[in-house]
Amino acid sequence: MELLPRLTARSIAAAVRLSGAGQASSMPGKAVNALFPGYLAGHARRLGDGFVVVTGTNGKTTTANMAARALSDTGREIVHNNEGANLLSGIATAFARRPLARFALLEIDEAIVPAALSRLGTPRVVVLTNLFRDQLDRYGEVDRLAAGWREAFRHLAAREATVLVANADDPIVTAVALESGLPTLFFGVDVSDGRAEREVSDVTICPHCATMLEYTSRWLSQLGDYRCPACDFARPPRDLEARELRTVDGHAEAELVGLAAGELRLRVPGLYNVYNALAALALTERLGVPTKAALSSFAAYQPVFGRWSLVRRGDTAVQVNLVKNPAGMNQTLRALGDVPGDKALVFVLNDNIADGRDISWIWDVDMEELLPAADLVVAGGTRKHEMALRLSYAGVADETLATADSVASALDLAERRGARRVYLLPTYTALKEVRGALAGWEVVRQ
Amino acid sequence: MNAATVEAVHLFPTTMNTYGDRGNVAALTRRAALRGLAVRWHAVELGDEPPARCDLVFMGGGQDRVQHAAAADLARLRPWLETVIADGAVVFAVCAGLQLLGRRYVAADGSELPGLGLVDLETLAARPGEWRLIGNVVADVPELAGAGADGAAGGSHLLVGFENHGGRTFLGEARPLGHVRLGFGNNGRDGGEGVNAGRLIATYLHGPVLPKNAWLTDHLLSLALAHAGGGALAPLAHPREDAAQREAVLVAERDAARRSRGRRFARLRRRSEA
Repeated sequence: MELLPRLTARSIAAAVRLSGAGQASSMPGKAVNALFPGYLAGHARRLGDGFVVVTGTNGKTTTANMAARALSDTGREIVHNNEGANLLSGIATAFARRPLARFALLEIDEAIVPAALSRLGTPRVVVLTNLFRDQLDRYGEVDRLAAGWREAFRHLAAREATVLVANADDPIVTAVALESGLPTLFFGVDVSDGRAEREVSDVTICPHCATMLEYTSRWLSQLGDYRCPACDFARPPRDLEARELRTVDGHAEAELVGLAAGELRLRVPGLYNVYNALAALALTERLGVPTKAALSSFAAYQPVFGRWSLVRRGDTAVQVNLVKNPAGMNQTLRALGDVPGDKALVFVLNDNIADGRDISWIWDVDMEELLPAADLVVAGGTRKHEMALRLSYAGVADETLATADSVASALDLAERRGARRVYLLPTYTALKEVRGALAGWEVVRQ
Repeated sequence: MNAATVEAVHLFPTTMNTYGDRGNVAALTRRAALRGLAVRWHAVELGDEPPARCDLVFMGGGQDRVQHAAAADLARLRPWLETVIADGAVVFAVCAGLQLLGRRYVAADGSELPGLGLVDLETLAARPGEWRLIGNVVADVPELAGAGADGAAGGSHLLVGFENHGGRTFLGEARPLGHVRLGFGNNGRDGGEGVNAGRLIATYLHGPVLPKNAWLTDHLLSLALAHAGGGALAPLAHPREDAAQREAVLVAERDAARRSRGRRFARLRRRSEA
């Protein structure tokens, strides 16, 4: 009997939209979960073709959206919490919106995997993107998140119905996957000249024997080609690998080898978007989508707002990318370094609960090495002075550095200074203010 | 050796690197460089041999699992640490670093992890039902003893940062660094924050702590520079640092106001339900 939960969700969604409070992607489900505690479990059981999960610190939303695009393009009817609402409330909202879909693609917050799986049951596939430090005050350290995953996967192993898709380049994800005993498709990239030797890393010692890991190349936080000098723990062979990575005109490209061979072309830049595509491809392969079809879906994939989305007003173009932890910010700055031309940078650092109160992570970003040359650098958000201090310590000259009380005033300043290309890097809650400030701007297809 | 070069050791930079503690290294280096001084950092990883002499030792916080590895390796480094401390070097430690300087850490199951015993303090793990102590902190620091003529340490100071620890630290004979105005501090009970044993200073505060507390950066630098034979530290303004400090005080006040509103609401609700 699902009529009551659906009606509840629908009326609350209508109320939220009327009040202008947002996209109604989590409030309806929150109410449904409170009023009908068995709803999630019941609905998940009735999905005729089951469900798959995408989780990890970075890349969940883009990975899930890319896979969803490939699945819809090949005619599958799916339910998908596609707005990044990845808590139990967002999943319930998605279920209530599309009650008849037989298959669910669920993005799940990395910290609630045990709680979510205990309600939802047995997924067909779990995609593990990576585990980085993120919101340390809320989630705790990486080791504690990994312990939660281990616990959740122990229950899955007994049922023998789940396959993992895991990032082979991340030692902590690999350790969890190998220990789970679940069959695993490993994906990874081949970057022989990794440049991340100085980057802060969350996994420095062997997950098995606590010896310092050795790397022949390290390209992003703890991601790289690693092995333990003391025991047999090492980066596993990749079932799907991307080689010859390059950024052409702000678009990432690579050669794929392994279970899906071909040419990967994306409309977004950066190594981590290659990772997102690899994870999405391993997932769609597992679900029977032809490789060629998936690759052409990825090639047409337009980023959602705040994930390298592009808008324009007059002579000024603004590209927005959410940044929320050191690994993501390092990658973003590195991608900007590959883009030629004059640029202005706007950092919007908030410390609301959903961002994490602890903003120390900006000091773990490799600003000194990676900050691209810019004509104007603006710091905004609830912690704009801390951001400005960080940028100043990283070597941004006082004449170039400004603080702004709002996103709108930061954009005004950039326009007044004649900036043609602005890169706007907000944290999670700042993204809402950015959306408002850019409401009148023209969306540019990439 | 150039007298204007401070030799600094960063203990376990790769493993004990959580919560932005690397920013402390950036602050010391930056405020020295602006005065034309160099800080030469020596990274000492697990198992590495430290340099024979140094002016300053820094150790940051780490995840629980690496903290055990660090404790084991510190036992090896203990004779070296005792030598450089006796020689007058400055030691600055954050969070796990503070705990490791003490006599012992008592885990939740009663087992003991011995510390370096360089400071008279001990740490008890959170008991079942006790929360981690997390949030923005503002503390008052009384006048520091032993500072140079740099003006940095004159008068009292404000110390701001972000704490995130399960362990509760209790000082014996040692003095706290500051007294919390907002936040929990060493144990959430006695109001003490950190420890100040003269040339050995430790705090629970991440944030990182040094960039937005320029007086503390300068205090550590002046002690280290004096030890290096470089004389007194020149005065240097810190407007950006102070702006970040004022902002941190405001957010700590914002959090405290939210908490007290939450408590008032809970009281009202209990009353209306009664």
